[in-house]
Amino acid sequence: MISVIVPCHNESGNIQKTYQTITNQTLKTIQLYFVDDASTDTTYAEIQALPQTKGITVHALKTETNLYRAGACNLALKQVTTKYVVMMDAGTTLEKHALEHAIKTLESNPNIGLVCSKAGIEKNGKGLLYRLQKLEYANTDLSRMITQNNVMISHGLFSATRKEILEQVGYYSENMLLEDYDLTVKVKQAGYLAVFSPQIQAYTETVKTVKQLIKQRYRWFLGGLDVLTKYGYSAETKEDIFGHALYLTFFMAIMGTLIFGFTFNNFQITYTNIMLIPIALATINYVTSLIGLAFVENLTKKDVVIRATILPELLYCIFLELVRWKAYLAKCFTKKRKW
Amino acid sequence: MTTTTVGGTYISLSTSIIASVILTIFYSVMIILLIICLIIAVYQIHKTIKAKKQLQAITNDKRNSTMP
Repeated sequence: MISVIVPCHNESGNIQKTYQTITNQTLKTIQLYFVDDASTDTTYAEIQALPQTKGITVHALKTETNLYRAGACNLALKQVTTKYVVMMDAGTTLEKHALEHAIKTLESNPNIGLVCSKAGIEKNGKGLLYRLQKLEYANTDLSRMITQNNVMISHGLFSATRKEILEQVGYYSENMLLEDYDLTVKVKQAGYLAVFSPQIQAYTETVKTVKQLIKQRYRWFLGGLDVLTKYGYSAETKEDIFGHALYLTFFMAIMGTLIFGFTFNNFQITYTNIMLIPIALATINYVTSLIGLAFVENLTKKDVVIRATILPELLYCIFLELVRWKAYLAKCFTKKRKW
Repeated sequence: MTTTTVGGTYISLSTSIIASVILTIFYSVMIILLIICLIIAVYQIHKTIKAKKQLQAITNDKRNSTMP
């Protein structure tokens, strides 16, 4: 038996969809906990209207004030009586063997503390923003596949664990913007592995507008930085810290070379053999990105064109870099955090 | 004052020395970083090919297991 926890904040319309994806699972004994996190719409009424089917018990929980994802999950986690627990987002759909695979993975090795799924994008989206996010999610899946037995973040879209591990690490930290990253670090520090299971397929919807995207990514970047400053340099955070350090050093070196080099060279770019290095680097990365297309779910010709022409993804990347810098500045100059 | 031309602009010799030292540092850092990135990129392409093969194996397994 397994418990599935679904925190919901104004998720009216997604409740039935989530319930459906759980009832479609090959595993048939499930304790399903929906936590309505102080929604202002009909979410709670929709949860209460869900039928109790054979093997699937629905628990409807409600918070009085908005506790955010971590608080809502903790409320349900303290009531869980099963050995295995899955935390997933409302609106996420799962491939029918997902829960079965999650249990199999956890049972295969007692040292595994967290299992996360592949994060696919639902088919129903349209437009350039949808396609760019779809390609980006595929890149993330690729990097998870590479670091399969030691993922940096066991994401909130679908993460499975054992109840005893959550008790041991003190459940989710409720004051963190990126509670899933924080939990992953805590579980790893407790001596467990956080692994990626490519057999588990979960699908989510992308954000629809640029404004939503900025808000989401800002939270991700800033939340990630908060986790790094909370835990400092450790075996669990060193990879991320190294990434930030390399990025910042590279950024300063590029800016410095451009400003000084360009100014003192009479605003002219002269070819030198050293330029072969970035050209080689760009070529290798281009080939890697084309190979990475294998990780895109429901790949279409449009996706291939976007990847092959480079420019759309390059502009998207520059846009995300601006959001990253906003997060760096916020990290340096502000202390207040808003989910 | 002793002057020199850099890119057609007359600047003092001391400024020119400082500028060339700074430039050399930036160029050196850039080259070191680029080489590090190149090594990472080569490692990454190797890992990506390996990951793609693994994914293909999983997809084939799934296909076989759903066959009647």
